[in-house]
Amino acid sequence: MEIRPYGDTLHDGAVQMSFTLPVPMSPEAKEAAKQLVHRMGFQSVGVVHMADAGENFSFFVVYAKTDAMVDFSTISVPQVSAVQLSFYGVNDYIRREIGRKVVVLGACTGTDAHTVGLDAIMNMKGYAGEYGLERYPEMVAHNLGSQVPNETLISRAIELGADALLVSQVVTQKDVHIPNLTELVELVEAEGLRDRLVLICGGPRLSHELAIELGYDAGFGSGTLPPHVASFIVQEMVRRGIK
Amino acid sequence: MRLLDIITQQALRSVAVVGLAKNAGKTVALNSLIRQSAERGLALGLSSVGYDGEKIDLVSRLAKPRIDVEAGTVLATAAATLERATAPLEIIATTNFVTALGEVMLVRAREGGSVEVAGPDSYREMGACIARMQELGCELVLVDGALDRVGGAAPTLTEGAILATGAVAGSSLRRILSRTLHTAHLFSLPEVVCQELRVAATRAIEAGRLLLLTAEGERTLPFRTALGHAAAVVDCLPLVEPCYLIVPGAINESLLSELANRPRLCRNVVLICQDPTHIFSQPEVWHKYTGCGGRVEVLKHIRLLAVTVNPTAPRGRSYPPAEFAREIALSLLPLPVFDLFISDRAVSV
Repeated sequence: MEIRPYGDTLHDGAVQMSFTLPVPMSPEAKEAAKQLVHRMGFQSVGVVHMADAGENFSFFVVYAKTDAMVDFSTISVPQVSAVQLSFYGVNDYIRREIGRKVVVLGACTGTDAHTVGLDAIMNMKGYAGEYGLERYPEMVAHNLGSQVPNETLISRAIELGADALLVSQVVTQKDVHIPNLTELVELVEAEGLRDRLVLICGGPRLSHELAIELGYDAGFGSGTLPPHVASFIVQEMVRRGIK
Repeated sequence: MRLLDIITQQALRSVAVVGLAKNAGKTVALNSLIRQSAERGLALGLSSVGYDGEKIDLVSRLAKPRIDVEAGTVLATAAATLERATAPLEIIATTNFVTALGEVMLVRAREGGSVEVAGPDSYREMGACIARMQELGCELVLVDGALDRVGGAAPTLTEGAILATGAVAGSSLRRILSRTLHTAHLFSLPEVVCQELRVAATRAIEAGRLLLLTAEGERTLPFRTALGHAAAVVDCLPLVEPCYLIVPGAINESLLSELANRPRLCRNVVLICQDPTHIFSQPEVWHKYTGCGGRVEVLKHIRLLAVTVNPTAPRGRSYPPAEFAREIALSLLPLPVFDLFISDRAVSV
């Protein structure tokens, strides 16, 4: 099934985009925005909004149409395969299948100081109506916070007997997250812990597919809630026989 | 001499292709080896640490080279990748190693075509897959290292390694050369010669405890890992006597810097670890440590067979191919260097 964006009618290819140009707001800047979008391969380009974005910068919202299509039937994206359990479901599952508390460590590693995502998953008060992992009676959750070096995360994991590591990476400019994430896996392997740990990474620019390529067990992107992560951890532990 | 000749001359049965960064040219090296093996009628096995062969780069969204196999090649790859292959694949066996893409299957290509490969998650499982492929008659098993992960080159896993480097490995030629030389240097660190020391080191590594050996005897340190305890570990070392410190897990920059900060002590210490994949250090810290007289020995080093270069970075700088390859080849002499984008033959210097 071939698809293209939907605007007013099916398959009209209508797209809305926004960007900033490094020139002051002017009729020339508007024309530049129009030509730029045209060069991207779009037709029926219309600049619907232009605004001053500070000193010598201008901001644009543009409508345009594309001819590009994708065959939706050929697309498949690997997804986290765990059964979705609730807060109570996860705790029951741990009592029944694991029989001890599950130790989870979370950290924003490397130079990353953006803890919003990690806090949403870990914090007791929770996020979007779901309790965070710290609230789970059958889990011992440690939030190590931001800018945690990989080595500290691993030494704490050994010390606390962690079952799962949650690594949050928000800053992905120039792909700085990649070497940082692969270093963690390689360190975990070097310490002989890979078979005993569920490795999870998360962040707005991380997908499950990329997590797998990096050698993690799962990746969670934006919109993830604590029970999603908890469900995966406990089921993965049972599947791998981590007891 | 071609890349495969180096492997067959040394009669190696498993080789890892690892890269210093993404897009360093691992897949190109792999495809080249697959083609040469087919010409020679060598039964080939193939697996990957992580996931490789996908059409689009998951990070940069740019097209990537596919892995093209020939008829008869055996693959250890996760179930979900099978339907994405254009080569007809026949399932030979299952492994019980489950990944996020399903169970790792041993399959054989009935005809040539492109494949995606996603091997098992852990190096232990990878070791088992290599052994299974060899049992199935593969004369050579190739292990593709994902991204910048070099762990596949561990001598406990594969008998030799090919290192892919290129314009993506650094922001300047100087930096690229420094990183490439550094990795090549780490791979070929000296092995522990003294038999007694080897026995003690093997024991400590198996027990997972740091062990200190001095003229007075041995002492088990109260640490399971040097990670996170660099200063405390270094505090345990004798001040002037020569000693060996056996580190069961990783030797990282914190430990090396801590030692380098105490030059008198650093001079007398030899760190010992399993193999070069247990060392995590950028060239700068390493040079500081060795500059103070610090040494590292390994139980087993990595047999580095060749280096391949890719003068082009998908985004960013590109270098004139001939000069780039020559520059790297000169600095790595006598190690053979290949620019497989241009020729199957080693770069002559």
